[in-house]
Amino acid sequence: MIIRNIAKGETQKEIPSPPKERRYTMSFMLAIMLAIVFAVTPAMSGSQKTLATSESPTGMTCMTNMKGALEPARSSMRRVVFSTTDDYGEKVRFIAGQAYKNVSDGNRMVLVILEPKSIRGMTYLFSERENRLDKWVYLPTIRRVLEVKPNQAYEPFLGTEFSVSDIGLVPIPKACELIEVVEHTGVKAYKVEEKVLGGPYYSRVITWIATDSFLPLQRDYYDEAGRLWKSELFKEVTTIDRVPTPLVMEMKDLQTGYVTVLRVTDVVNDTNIPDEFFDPKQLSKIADSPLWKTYSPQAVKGK
Amino acid sequence: MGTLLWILVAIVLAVTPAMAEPPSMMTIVKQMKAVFEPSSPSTSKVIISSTSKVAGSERNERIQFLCGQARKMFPDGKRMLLVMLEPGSIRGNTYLFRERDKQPNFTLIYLPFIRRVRELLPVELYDRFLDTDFTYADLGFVRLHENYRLLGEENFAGVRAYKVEESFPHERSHYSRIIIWVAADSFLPLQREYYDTEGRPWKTERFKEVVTINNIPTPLLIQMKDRDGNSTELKVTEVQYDVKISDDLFDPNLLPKVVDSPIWNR
Repeated sequence: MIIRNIAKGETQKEIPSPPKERRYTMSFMLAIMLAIVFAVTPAMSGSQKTLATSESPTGMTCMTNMKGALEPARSSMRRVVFSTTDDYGEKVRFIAGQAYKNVSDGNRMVLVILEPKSIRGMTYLFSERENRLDKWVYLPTIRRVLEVKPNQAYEPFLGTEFSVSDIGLVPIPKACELIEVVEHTGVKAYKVEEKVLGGPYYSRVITWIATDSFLPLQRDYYDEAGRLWKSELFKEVTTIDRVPTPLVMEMKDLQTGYVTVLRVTDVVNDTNIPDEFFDPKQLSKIADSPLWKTYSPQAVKGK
Repeated sequence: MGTLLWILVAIVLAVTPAMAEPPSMMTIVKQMKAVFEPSSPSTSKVIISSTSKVAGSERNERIQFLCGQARKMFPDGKRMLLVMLEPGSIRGNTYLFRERDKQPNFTLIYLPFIRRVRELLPVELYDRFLDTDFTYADLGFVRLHENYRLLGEENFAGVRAYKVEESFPHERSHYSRIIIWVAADSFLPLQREYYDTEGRPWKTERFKEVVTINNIPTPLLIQMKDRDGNSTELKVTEVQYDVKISDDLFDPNLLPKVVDSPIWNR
């Protein structure tokens, strides 16, 4: 065999050819080795990444199940405390009441600010109907009920690290993908990526979902430029009336360093919540409902 | 007689093209900006009145806010401050609009209930200001960019006016375009018509009660009406031009203190 340096047009080296029988044996061996390599490669990559197999649920199934785990088909009420810090490092706290109901055509959720007094009565309504998630807000300052437009749902909720969307019903993404099955903080989890195309806030969201309970463990939000922006942790999962419930959600803005903690207390499941609670026209009256009496500062102190 | 006639004809011919030729589109926009946003430092009080249907009824209700406004020209551009003085529930909400040379404008917001100053993202500028019919962008500075088009000249409510169209990139605004009528004599805006992203008429803004204060023509009433029958008006009072305003008032780090400035008690 003659090897030429084509570019230079020179003959570099002369290698003697092996005998004919040896060439057949070598080709046969090479073919077997190649076959082994091709057969093994996918299996190897699967085991390294713990890649989702055909038995793994799809990304969409993971997200739908996560929604089901966070929003069980039972009515519930709870007290929600938002804690964060101001520009001077001092603590700031808001207290809200949250009511949740599953009705025939979808889920409803209402969140009303009870404290501080200056924003008391600000009320958010989330309503799901035929795969459509509508949001309204009632602002006592101007006494108007306004629809929250899709882009506005990603704006800071009361200036905190949570967005309006984060505190409402879980939206099902238009498209998402199960990346892998991994161990996340000691828990076996599905890692799901949601791509947000053309959004002015996020470019993608990565969610780790526990494989056993389908409760979220962590959500990482990336900004428009693809940089990690916010990280949300779901903590202190407690079973209340047979419903596993994360009692603490912590949202950290990794670009500013601010953190907001949402703490859930006084959860009451299977409670009777009137349908008017979820009527956009009635939002102005929600803050004065006697249902929140047990969440007043006096009542909580007495507990 | 014949000579006089020829002179007159010559004058008419010489003047006519100059009269017919409107200024360039950019000249109109820049002039409007200069007249509407005088560089002289100023303070004023603004009464914001909003009328809307009472939630759950057909009855209309009027709500009023009072805010203080200050403007000043800095070496790097104009700054405008709005601080809520009444009612008590929103007292201290403060908004600082900043314009910078060859850089995008930006808006800072201070909310007393969380005691934080933060910058509004560009998309948030098209949110409702205090949930009235004005957006932050409507209250901010006249934007200078290439997306203006002169549609022509017409008589608008008895005033000769230039009709200008401002268009927006779809993904960055809640508007697709704004049609502006600018008075040909004073260059003050007379009306702005806002169209939603679907191209449908959404809101109409009228500039009224123009009064000359310290040689500066100033519209004292601005009305915004939306297609749902809601409306908000800004009534400008206690206008003072050429006043001395400390730079500190416009310092982003000092926004929490703006509401307590004695400047609002003048």
